[in-house]
Amino acid sequence: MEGRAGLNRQWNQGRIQARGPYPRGQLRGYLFGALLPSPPMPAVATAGLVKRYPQGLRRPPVLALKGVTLEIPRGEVFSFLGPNGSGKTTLIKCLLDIAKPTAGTLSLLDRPVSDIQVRRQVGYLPESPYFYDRFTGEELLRFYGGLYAMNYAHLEQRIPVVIDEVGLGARAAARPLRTYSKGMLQRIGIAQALLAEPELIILDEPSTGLDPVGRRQIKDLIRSYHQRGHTVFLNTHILEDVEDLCHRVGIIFQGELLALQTIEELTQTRSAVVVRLRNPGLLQANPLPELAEGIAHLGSGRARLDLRDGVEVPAVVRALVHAGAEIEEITSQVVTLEDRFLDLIGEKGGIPESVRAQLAAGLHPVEDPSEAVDPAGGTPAP
Amino acid sequence: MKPRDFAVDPSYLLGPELLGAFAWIMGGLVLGLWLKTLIKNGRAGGHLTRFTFLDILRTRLYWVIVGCSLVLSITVVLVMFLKAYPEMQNEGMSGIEVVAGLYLFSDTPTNIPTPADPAAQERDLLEGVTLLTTLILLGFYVFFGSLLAIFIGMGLLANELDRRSIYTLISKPLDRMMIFFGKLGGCYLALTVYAVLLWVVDAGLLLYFGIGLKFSMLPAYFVASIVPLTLAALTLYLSTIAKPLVAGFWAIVLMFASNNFGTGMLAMITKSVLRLEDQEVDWFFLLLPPQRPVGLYAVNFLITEPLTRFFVTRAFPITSDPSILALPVVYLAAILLIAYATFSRKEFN
Repeated sequence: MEGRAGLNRQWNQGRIQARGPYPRGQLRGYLFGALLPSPPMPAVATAGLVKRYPQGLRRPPVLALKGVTLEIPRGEVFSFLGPNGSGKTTLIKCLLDIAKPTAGTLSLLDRPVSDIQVRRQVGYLPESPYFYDRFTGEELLRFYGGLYAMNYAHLEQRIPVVIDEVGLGARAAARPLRTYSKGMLQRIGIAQALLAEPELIILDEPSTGLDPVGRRQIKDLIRSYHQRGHTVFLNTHILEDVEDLCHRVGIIFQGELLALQTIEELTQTRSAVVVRLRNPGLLQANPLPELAEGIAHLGSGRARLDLRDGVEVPAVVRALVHAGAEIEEITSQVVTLEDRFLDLIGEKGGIPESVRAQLAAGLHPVEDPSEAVDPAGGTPAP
Repeated sequence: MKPRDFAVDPSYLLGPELLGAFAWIMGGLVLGLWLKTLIKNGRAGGHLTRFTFLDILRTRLYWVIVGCSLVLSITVVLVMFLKAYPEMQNEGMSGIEVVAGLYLFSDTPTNIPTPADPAAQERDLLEGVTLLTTLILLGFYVFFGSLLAIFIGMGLLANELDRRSIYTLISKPLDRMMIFFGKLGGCYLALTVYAVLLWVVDAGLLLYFGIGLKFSMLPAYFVASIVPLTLAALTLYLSTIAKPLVAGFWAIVLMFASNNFGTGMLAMITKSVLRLEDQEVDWFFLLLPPQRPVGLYAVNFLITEPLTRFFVTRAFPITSDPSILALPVVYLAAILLIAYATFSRKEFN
């Protein structure tokens, strides 16, 4: 018969759910555990989280988080997306008790974040990590393992495993950290976050400084930990990684949570067209409500029509002409996570007009707007 | 010259009962806090202390300061005795005259009978040499130990804050105050290594002089370690609220202000400003951090001969009343309590 430790392990690996008088069972579990299945406790839960940074007497405080309400179920790979300075790292700091929230509630694994015991089940990789450079990689892992009060034998067993998992190599792990490259530091940082096999793994920009092979390795590693039942909270700017790995995405801008949806919900497999008309007044509102679900203004007279399921581009062209539109340019588009992200941020004024126009035209933003090339042969984007 | 009343009593400040009670309360609070933190954090706290200690031992600055002080102390003692000892013998000086003349720069214990028997005179002189050697090394420990504590304390937490590695540390199952105590504990262990090295040097010198090993100075080092420990705690705390250089600057100012020279100067200035020429201002020496009270008490461990004690106390303020240590305890406890109140609530942005 398995003891409490065994149940704990199974719980951590996501093999059992909160049903009864298990380690994290509550009174409800003790009283009705045998009869009523209770919902699994979320790995992360915040409600109305506000964080205000005072800026001195003469300047108004900066509102880094504006009432963020979020719930991440156990066993999920979740990603937080947002431009620089949008509040992603602030939220992580609040979760780890590095910063104190101004208002709102938050819990990790159903416990208050101030409870240091909960951090036994949390592994964290900070953004651009720095570690004690006089120590070797192995010594550093031994140090962090000691802070988790890991059993010595288990720790010695885990160290080579995580070193191998992050692709560092035993020889590199025996070298002092001051000789490490940025990518190696990132790998050792990920290794210390995974060392104690925590239930919740929080990775802030894990791909920073890694080469394409390294990025791939880390993606596989995240996938493997997820398959073993760990919850992963990812902060990244690399949307491709998010699409590959995550179940749900939270998009945050200026401290406000704009969307909290699955990747499928966000991108939906419908198509869209980007149009530019000689008579742009027609695009003030959705001109084709029967064919398009919505319209997004992209600047420079361009607009994107999100088409309903099964609607094809020729039908849209015909309907536009029928409505009196003088089409200068029309391009077919599939909505990606990037599009949705830029839409949401753009709606809040988070993207400069010139960049939005270039993005809408399928171009990379350029420093000098005059360098922008219009594929349709029209005038350069302003 | 009228001999001073050297029985410096903390009652100049608060009265012995009140001061004692205050020290007990403060010390008890800190001890309780430390125990609570230790129990809450278990092995992890000790692990952080050990790691910090090893990290300090790997810093070059630590060994530079320790090495310099060891070389300097050996040089001072050897030069002093190898050159002066034959002259002392020729002039028939007593041991206590050696101590008074060379260490205390005082001529107070004059007319001390020198043993007529050359062997007894030799023993007496060696007694003085032993005391002087140990006094010099203890002085080195307090001075260089304090500098060491300040230099180490400046970087221990400030570097973590500056490089933001504190984020990783806080994300581990470790109480905030344990981080502070762990760092301070590591620093104290490094100071203990320095004390042990000085004791080894002391023992080596005494063996070289043919005197033999003396273990009585170990408790003296233990008492004296309150000074660097307090300065380490102060610097460590200040470095969490100010730039490390600013923290180190103020700690060094306090260190110099609280030694005999610094407090003497301050007392002199206070006397002239407040026109207190006729009044005793020994209480002034107790207002600043704990160098002087610790010095007054630590010397007790070095003097084992009653006769030597009698003469030394005529030239050097000394008290065997342990209540003199109440004030250093209060200083240390106050710093740790302030650190607890602020560091455990600090935001790291």
